Amino acid sequence: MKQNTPHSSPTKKGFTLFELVLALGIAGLVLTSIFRIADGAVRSTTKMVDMQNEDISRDAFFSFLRNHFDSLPGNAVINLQNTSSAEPFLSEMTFQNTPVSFNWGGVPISAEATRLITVPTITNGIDIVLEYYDEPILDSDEGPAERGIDPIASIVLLNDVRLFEWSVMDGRKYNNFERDDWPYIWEENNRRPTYVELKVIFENDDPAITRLFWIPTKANPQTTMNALKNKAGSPIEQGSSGNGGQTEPGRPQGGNGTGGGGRPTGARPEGGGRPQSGGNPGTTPPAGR
Amino acid sequence: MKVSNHPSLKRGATLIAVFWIMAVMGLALVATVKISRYQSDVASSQINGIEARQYAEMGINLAANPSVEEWDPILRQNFENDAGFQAKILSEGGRFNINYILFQEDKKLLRDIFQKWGVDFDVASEIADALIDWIDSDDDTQLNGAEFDYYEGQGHFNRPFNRPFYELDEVRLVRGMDLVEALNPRWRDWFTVWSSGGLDVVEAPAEFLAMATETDIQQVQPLIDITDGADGIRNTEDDQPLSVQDALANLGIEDPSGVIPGRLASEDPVKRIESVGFAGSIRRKVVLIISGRTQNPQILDRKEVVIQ
Repeated sequence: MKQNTPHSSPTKKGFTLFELVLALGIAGLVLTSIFRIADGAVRSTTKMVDMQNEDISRDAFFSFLRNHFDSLPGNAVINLQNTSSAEPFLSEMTFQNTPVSFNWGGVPISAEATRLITVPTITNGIDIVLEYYDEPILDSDEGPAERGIDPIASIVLLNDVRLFEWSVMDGRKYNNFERDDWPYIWEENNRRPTYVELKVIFENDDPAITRLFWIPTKANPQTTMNALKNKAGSPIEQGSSGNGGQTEPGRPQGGNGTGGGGRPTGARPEGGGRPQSGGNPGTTPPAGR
Repeated sequence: MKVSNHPSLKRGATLIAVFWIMAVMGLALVATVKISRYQSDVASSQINGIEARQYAEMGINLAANPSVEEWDPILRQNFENDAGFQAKILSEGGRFNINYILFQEDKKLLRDIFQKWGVDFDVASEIADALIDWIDSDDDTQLNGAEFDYYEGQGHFNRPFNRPFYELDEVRLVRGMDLVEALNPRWRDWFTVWSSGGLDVVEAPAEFLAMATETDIQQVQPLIDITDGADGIRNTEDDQPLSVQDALANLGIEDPSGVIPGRLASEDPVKRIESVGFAGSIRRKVVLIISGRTQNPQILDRKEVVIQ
């Protein structure tokens, strides 16, 4: 009698349990490895993007500084002070007569003074803060906080860096100093340093990054404008100088237009070196570093 | 569930699985290559950026040399690897000195310029008055001006500066200049604070000359043809000098009031050196403004500017 079964062989009835388990196992292994490869690629991409963003922001910071040192007007006053003698070394770099040099994001800001200060953090790091003042702050031996002058705006430029050290060099005294012994203080109001060096360590394991900024010697715009005014035979009443970091007759500082007088230009005390005492920065190399 | 037992279909399923694996691995490979390329692009961009800046500085140094003339081919150099610089020596007098205009209280010229950009007459007058209030030392407000009281009301306690502008960026702080900037974002190309005074009749563009002489571009074109020389190209060896008197005579302008002659000058000693360095696709531009280039050079301004 002819059998009417469709499958004569047991192998044609389907997969065995073993085959299914084996197939699922292999598929699992393959999928896992694919997932790992893909996940690894995504992770490395993310990490790379983060690193590039970090690099870009650091580059932007250095470009910001370079552009502003480059474009400081000829009558700009720079003052560099150290405010701690132990690590983390803290510093204050003040700029005066640079009313629009530190415009931020294209927004016009007029400041009588700007300061780049270091602020210690709880993790023993340093925040770098840019402060804007609408009053001159270099005209007294006392700091702005002691005189009750608050910044009109503050911007945190960098967070929690490990090291942030300035040093300066007067071009006339270049041969007097070894490269590693540039002064850490600048208090000459009538001159600008020729070079400013910045040493930064961003993260704990990062190497120190050193950047050198050139401050070109420029003509004092006040002198140039006086000559221009004389040439124009100007009928306009013009003081010997004006606001925007200059002495201005007839108005108190940040005042209301009544009374007042010229802004004092008090001399800064001399100092030098990392410790907060002693020595002209132009003649005495810093010690204790 | 019906399971196919055809051998060729089994092989087909395996092939599809292999395709899938190859596709996913291919994607991972492409991602890796893209990351590497991105890294390489960023690194080369940084290197090219530094190189381009160095070439720009090279152009500045060469152009600042007093023995180099404006048309000297040494100002345009190409090196290997698609790198080099192009430097120009221009007269800063080719732009309007905004301080000089304000010192002369030439409100009409300012109004004309602002109106050309689309500012309403009344608003242009207000801006001109506010500009004069910015540079004069008193607190007396011009007819439509803005003195300390106005800026104090805006929360700015150190404005106006009551001195001439030391940078064009300071002009932006004056009341109404935001409108000017909105109408003409390239307004800086018209002005300077560093020239020696009037508009240089040899170096200024036709548009500026027409504005200063209260004529139109067609009228000043013959003047441009004379100063550009036979080749009709500016800053070439055959450029012709021209005095203010000759320029006015050529234009047929007689101005007994002296207003128009007072707006003009010739042979401004202040030079603008623009140098564009390039390396690959990266370009950097450095601008140096210098007085007394051929005798006792003095830097008036120097900055790296964004190339647009």
